[in-house]
Formats: sequence, C-alpha cells, structure tokens
Amino acid sequence: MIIYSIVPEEIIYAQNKDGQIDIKNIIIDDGVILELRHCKNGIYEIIRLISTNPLDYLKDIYQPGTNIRISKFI
Amino acid sequence: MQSDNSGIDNISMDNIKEFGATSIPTMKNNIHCLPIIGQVEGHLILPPNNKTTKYEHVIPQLIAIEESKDIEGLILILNTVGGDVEAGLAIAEMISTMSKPTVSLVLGGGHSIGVPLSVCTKYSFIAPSATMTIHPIRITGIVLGVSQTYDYLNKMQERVVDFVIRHSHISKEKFYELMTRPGELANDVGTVLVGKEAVAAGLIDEIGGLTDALNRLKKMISKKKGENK
Repeated sequence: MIIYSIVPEEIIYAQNKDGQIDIKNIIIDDGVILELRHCKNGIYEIIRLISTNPLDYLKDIYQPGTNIRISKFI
Repeated sequence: MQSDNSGIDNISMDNIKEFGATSIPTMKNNIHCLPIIGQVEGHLILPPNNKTTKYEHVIPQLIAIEESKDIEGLILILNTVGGDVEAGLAIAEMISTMSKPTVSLVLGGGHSIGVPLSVCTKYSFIAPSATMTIHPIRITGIVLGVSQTYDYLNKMQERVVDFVIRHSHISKEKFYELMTRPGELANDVGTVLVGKEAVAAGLIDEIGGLTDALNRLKKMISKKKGENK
C-alpha cells in the first residue's frame, strides 16, 4: 500500500500521546452514517455526520454534539 | 419515535423528547455533495489523529447517487492532503465513469492523490486561494536497492499520471516537469500550484467558487434533461 500525501508518514502514523484511542462506532440509518463516541449507559455523542445529501446537515437531530440513545445495533 | 424509515424508531433522540420536535421538514434536493477531506483512507485504518475520508463510505454513496432517480448531479468538494493511492484512484475512477453531471471544487488544498480526484469530474473549479501539490510518490520501510524497486515505483506513479492526463488538459511532459521540479518544495521535488496556476497548467478547467460550481452543474443537468427528451 502506498500513501501519496504531503503529510510525512511519521505524522500520519503517530500515536496519541496518552495511548488512548477514542471509541467510535458507526451506524447507518436513513442513508446517513453517524460517527459516535460512547458517553455512558448507551448514550452516544454524535461526532460527525457522513452523508452526500447537504440537507441532512441542517437537521437538528444529526448535529454534532447531540447525545442520542441507541437501543439496538450497538 | 415512530417513523416510516426502518431503523430510525430504534433510536430515541434525547432532544426530540426535550423539545417535542417530531418531524423534520423534508425538501427534495437534486444535487448531492461529496466532501473529500483530510486523508483518503483505503486498505489500512489510519491512527485516530488523522481526519479521514474512507473509501468504504464513499463508494456505496456514489453507487446510490448514480442509481437514485431524485439525484441529478454531484458536486465534489476537495480539501485533502492526499492518502492511499488505490483508494484515491478507485474513487476517482468511480466518479469519472458516472453518467450524471459532476463538478468538482478544490478549496483549501487538493494535494497528491487529491490531484486525480479533482480532475475526475466532468468539469472542475478551483478557488483562487486553493493549492495543489504535485510531487512524486514515495515509499518507506525496507527498500531493496535493485532496479525492480524503481520499476515498481515508476509503475505506481504512471497509474496516477495516466489518470490525470486522461481527465484534464495537461500534457504528460508538463505534468512530469511539474512533478520533478526542484527548488519549490522544502524537502521534496515537485510544485505547488495556487489557484490560477492550476488553471494555466491545464489541470483545472476554471477559477471559481460555490456559485460558479453550482451554476455550472445546474446548466449541465438541464442540458442532460434536454438530451433525454
């Protein structure tokens, strides 16, 4: 595999200082991919929204920082 | 929350409970937007300090856009530092073979593997302040000092160069000249093209911004509709 980037490989492959990796989960719903971080007791914070529909980014429920509760999938 | 979308009723949104908002006004949008940001991530998961665009997300989205009856055009927004050669080329090939009108807009940067990605659409724009870095690919790790190593690297380079010259107005000689120019990059050979320089080199079609890109896409959509009638 070849990385073709202006960023040096030592920066790309640098590990976090504390060695901790954020746990992120992804769910697919309504054609939208949500990148989530587990907060507590099944509550997840939306980190990032991945969708090609620009209108999805205007929806309140998908705003990054929103806490959501998930009963299934995860 | 009850919803006609399967799956969404499995998620109870806290803010919906709090604010009592039950329905979201749905508008039809015939233009979809695909942002390629950070590193293009392919065969290897990059450490979390990288912001990445993953090909396993992008490729199904492209198929959905191509297949959807409601979506008429795609605008590709680029602000990438490069990434996996094969993932980048895969996405670029997918977009270049789409039947729907496509327009790209380079904002900030479209470096390295971002170059084939920015020329893969039917028409391309670059913001006046955006830059594109053209430089040779490199390998790290154990490198055998044999001619096969060079031949392999050259072959990998050719894949990228061929794609770019197939989808833009730049000549192979000019692209290689920009790629191997010494003295422009601090610790590499290559060239940084700013806005109009990318247009002058024949890499990008036009200088422009959001309105230019959207207007061009809308024109292409109406032209395609006219042809289909």
